[in-house]
Amino acid sequence: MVKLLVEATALCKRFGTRWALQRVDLTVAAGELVALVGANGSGKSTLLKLLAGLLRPDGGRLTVAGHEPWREREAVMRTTRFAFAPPALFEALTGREQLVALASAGGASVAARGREVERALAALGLAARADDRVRTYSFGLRQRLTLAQALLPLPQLLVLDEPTEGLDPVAVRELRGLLRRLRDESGIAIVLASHLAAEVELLADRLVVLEEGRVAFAGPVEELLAGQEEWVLAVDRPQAAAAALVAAGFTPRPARERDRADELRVAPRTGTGGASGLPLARLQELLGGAGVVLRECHRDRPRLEEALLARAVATPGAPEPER
Amino acid sequence: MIARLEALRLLRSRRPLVAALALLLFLALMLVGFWTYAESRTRGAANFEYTYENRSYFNGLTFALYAFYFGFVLLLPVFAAIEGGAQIAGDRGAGLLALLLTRPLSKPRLFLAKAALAAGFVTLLTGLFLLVALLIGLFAVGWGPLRLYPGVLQMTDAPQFLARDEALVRFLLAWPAASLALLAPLSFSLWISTLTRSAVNAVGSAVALYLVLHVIAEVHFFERLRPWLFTSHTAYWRGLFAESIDWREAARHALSLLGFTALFLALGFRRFRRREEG
Amino acid sequence: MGRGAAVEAVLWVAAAAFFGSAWFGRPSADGAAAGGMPGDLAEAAAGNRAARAQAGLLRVITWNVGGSRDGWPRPFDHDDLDRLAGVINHLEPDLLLLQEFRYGTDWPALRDRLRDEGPYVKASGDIAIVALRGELHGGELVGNVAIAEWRIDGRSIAVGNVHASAWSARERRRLIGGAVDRLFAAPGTARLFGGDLNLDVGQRSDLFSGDPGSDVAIYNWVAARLTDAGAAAGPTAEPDRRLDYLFTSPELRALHARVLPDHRGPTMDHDPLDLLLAPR
Repeated sequence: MVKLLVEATALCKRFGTRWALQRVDLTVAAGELVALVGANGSGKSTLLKLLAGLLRPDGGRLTVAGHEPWREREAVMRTTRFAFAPPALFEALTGREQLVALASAGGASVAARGREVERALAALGLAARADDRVRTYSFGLRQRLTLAQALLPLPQLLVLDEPTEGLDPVAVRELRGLLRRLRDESGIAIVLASHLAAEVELLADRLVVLEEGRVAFAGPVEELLAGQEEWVLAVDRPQAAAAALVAAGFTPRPARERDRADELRVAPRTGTGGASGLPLARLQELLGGAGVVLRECHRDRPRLEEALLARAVATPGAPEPER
Repeated sequence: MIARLEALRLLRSRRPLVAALALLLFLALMLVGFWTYAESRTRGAANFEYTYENRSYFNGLTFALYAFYFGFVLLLPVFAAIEGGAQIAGDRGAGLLALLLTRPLSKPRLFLAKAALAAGFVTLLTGLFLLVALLIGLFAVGWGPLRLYPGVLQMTDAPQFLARDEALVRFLLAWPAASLALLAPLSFSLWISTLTRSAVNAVGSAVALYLVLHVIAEVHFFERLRPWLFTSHTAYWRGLFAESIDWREAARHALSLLGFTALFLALGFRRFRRREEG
Repeated sequence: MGRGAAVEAVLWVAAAAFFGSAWFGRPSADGAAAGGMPGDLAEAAAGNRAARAQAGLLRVITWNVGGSRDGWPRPFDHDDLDRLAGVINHLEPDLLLLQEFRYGTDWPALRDRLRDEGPYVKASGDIAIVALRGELHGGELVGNVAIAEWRIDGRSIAVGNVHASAWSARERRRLIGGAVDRLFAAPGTARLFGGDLNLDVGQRSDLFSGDPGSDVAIYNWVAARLTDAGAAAGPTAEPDRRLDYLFTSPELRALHARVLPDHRGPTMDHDPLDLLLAPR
């Protein structure tokens, strides 16, 4: 039986009259990396703070590693580690002192503490600057130190808020590798809140999309992107081509940022096609009739970022949750 | 251990240095004032027509007492308020409270460790102030018997005389007594600190309220309110410089101050325990 | 109960315990006023002159019997004559130092009401020294300074009574300083100095003082020569001021000093200061 480290059922949180979270369901199993995505103000940070026991739920049920975070925060922290953004660190301490102090606060023995600290420093590439005061660190180094303290000691559940913010591309790649190892080799469950869809796409086993405090989607990334396939047509006269396609009953799709000026997108339709499944002959005939030359045609699907952006179209305010 | 972390943070912060420098500057100013006053008033004479300010009256112990008296009224409670304000509100504003609370560290342990460290710091600062004042008195003026008269210090209604060694013992007793007195404004500031996110607001509010209560306690019209104001009790250590110490009265004030300290700690801890850190 | 709730409960209980202990340790009103006088001496000071004489004790009272209206001083009002005489007859002091009391107009009226016969009086300005036991001799009587020799029980005590200015600190300093100098120059093996010095060196600064610092200085000067016997007695005039003093030389041991708040008449604005002395 899979061990669930996070179980949230109909979780609600209110600030004044504003509901930051409304009936949120969430589960995170051991060895699973769940990504939490959503626009600013969607409730990601609120959810993480509820997991950390820093906020008290106003409805629903929440357990982390079998304990209610608000009431049993200390018990939760024995098995869970957090790294919030922006990094909050003790400026006057050195990196090593910071980690030793925080490891001590966990009650670890001196020897165990020392080993863990050195391992964390090495894992995050901080060994060379470990004896410098934190106030001399760049933002990226602070971010790494924040992540390092989240590994002291290795937890059952790791909760990270924008962990790659401020990191250079090399560091980002190293962090992704570290997270994969933690998940795959150590069986650690990871909750990752991120704005970087590319990162989520590469790492997440499951995705939870929050929109205005509600779960808009929960499932594998593939599931979110399924059914969003498109055809991309490169033509010499995009406007004329679009008109012809619409007249023929095709459904145009919005252009993507990465599209060229001569490309346009349409929703797929079944029809006689070649090996790629695209009805090339049909399209060429249709466009040729409109005086448009079809230069290229291929299947495509949106990237996660594009899919999320498409979802983030403004909607009217959501009603109050049923209590 | 959280205590070790907090101690390291305190030592590495600028607060101890600033406090020590401020007290040294204060003592230097007191010394300058002391010298110029004695010079202008007595010109070293034994008698000055119908006034009596003899050089032997002003010795190093008198200087130390004057300096500590005014330092206690004006400076030490401010540093106690600064320390209290920095502990909770300062950490909250910097996100460090959330960092600490995401470790397996109970809120009681965290709060009490901070309170204990702040109390220890204030105690050491008080002792340092007394010690430096006495040493300055020794090297700049010279020690002698301690004579007190009614007047500016309002410490006595009748002349008091303490031989030098006995006076030094009283100074030693004044250290824990004054430190205990400072626990009340410190815990008051700690409580205020749990009510706000900004250390500046916490310290400013605590200092302002302390000064208001201090003034109220001194104004005759509020005589009936005095027993209920902790600022009315903080000066009890002065009674240790009477020839005959009223231990019962001293104990009564000390117990009142401990009561206020526990009360403010209870209020602060209650708030700290229940407050969300969002 | 969680750990947090337990800690909070401990703090509340501690606060209650400390406050409770402080409350129960507060001094009682009776204890504060009495000044801790032993029972047999209390009886002696309660008015039995004969018993005091037998015990070799002396009772001295200083009293400004004048009043004020709208902030301006008024001399002794004859409406309070019976009051004043009654208090003197009841308390039976051995020596009385009066201020705002005019010998010419007030003494004849008072004398007729006193039980004692033939008290000695030395007066000057608006002050008077009245010896109800023993004799007064000599005397330097200048303005509001009266110095005389009080012979009693085989002793010779130089007594000084002053009424210092309520307005000018410089005047107070001059008068008090001069009076003490003359007191030490007067005949007598012991010194007793008192009256309404208008020095406010207690807890609050005097609104009328020209220079509180000067009051401190002159007080210190006197206190360096004589002992302030009434220091623990408390204030003698509103709102909270100690203006009336009795100083003694080492030959006179002060056993007890108290302010008598229930004795002033309706027109008076000072309470008498009562001192019990044991000559060494």
